[in-house]
Amino acid sequence: MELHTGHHLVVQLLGMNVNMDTLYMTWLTAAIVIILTVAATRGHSLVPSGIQNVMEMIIEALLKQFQETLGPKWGQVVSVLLTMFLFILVGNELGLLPSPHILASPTNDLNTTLALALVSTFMVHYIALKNMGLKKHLKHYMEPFAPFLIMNILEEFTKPLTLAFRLFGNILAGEILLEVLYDLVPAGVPMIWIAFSLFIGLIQAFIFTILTTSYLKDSMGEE
Amino acid sequence: MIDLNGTLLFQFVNFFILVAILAKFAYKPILKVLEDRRNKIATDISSAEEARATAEKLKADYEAQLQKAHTEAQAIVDKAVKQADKEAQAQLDAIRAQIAREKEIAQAEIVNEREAAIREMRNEVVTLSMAVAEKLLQKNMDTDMNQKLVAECLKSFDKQAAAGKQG
Repeated sequence: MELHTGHHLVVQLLGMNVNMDTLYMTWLTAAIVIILTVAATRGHSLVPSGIQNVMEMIIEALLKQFQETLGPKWGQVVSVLLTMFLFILVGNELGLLPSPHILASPTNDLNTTLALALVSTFMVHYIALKNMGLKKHLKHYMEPFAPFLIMNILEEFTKPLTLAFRLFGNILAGEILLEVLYDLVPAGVPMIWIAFSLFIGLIQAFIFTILTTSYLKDSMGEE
Repeated sequence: MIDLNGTLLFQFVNFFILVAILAKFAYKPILKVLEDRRNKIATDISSAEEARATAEKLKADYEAQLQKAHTEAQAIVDKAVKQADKEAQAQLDAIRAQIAREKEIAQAEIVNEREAAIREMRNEVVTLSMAVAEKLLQKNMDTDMNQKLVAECLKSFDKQAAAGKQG
């Protein structure tokens, strides 16, 4: 049996090897996210209904988390964090649609998850520099005292790596297992796994976003 | 399966493009609607609170007015009852006085009538006495004599009567 999941269509683009299938799925995911959010805001009704209601419910729940964790400057990163959650959520669930060998999650490619993790790291440093300046930002590497410099620098690598691998592993493993289950017991059992994976997809999107939020907390310049 | 390549860079850029698009077309209106709704709810709650306070004040006012009206009505009724009592008493007094007056008049009339009857009876008695005396004497005295006798007789009667009244 040849596993399809995890194999990519590699193409030369701008002198680089690029996984085209991942990019297609990324664009599809982005399109769905855009359609969902724009559809949710069309009409801008004060009394929400239908999809606007659902989207506002999700967004309000997240906003509450952001506000509690980040304090008054949460507006600086709200767009990135919301996009992170929606993109990962929609991406995760896309791979579960029963369309063998056509649809796959963009998040089953380490390139995607690592890119998202790097976005998280990038935002942490960018916002820290913006709010506290270079000196204060560098100073926090020596805290609580100088020898922690090693730990703190190590953390700069472990944070994005754990973010990337956690998401990548969960989604890739889920899709591989789904494919295997389709081969072994085509009826019934894969459905149970899909139901569970839907839940996993939501949880992973939430974890990724909330961890990024907590990393960003130190960048807000609040004591 | 785990090979990093140019996709990483593309995904990094793709993500920020998505952020830019969503921030412009989706989040701004969503955040605005959420903010508007929060403001509206806050305003509604405060105005509802105001309305409640106003209603309570109105209710208290009405109750006070009702109480006042009640007291005033009671006072009016009391006054009317007192007035009616007074008028009834006055009428009763007037009627009593009237009755007393009429009684007096009636008594005076009775006295007058009695005196008239007595006078008449006295005249009758005199005339009768005269007739009896004439018959007894069988002799007719002249009228002057007669008159004189009658006058004397009457005088003595009157004296007796006066003495009787006093005695």
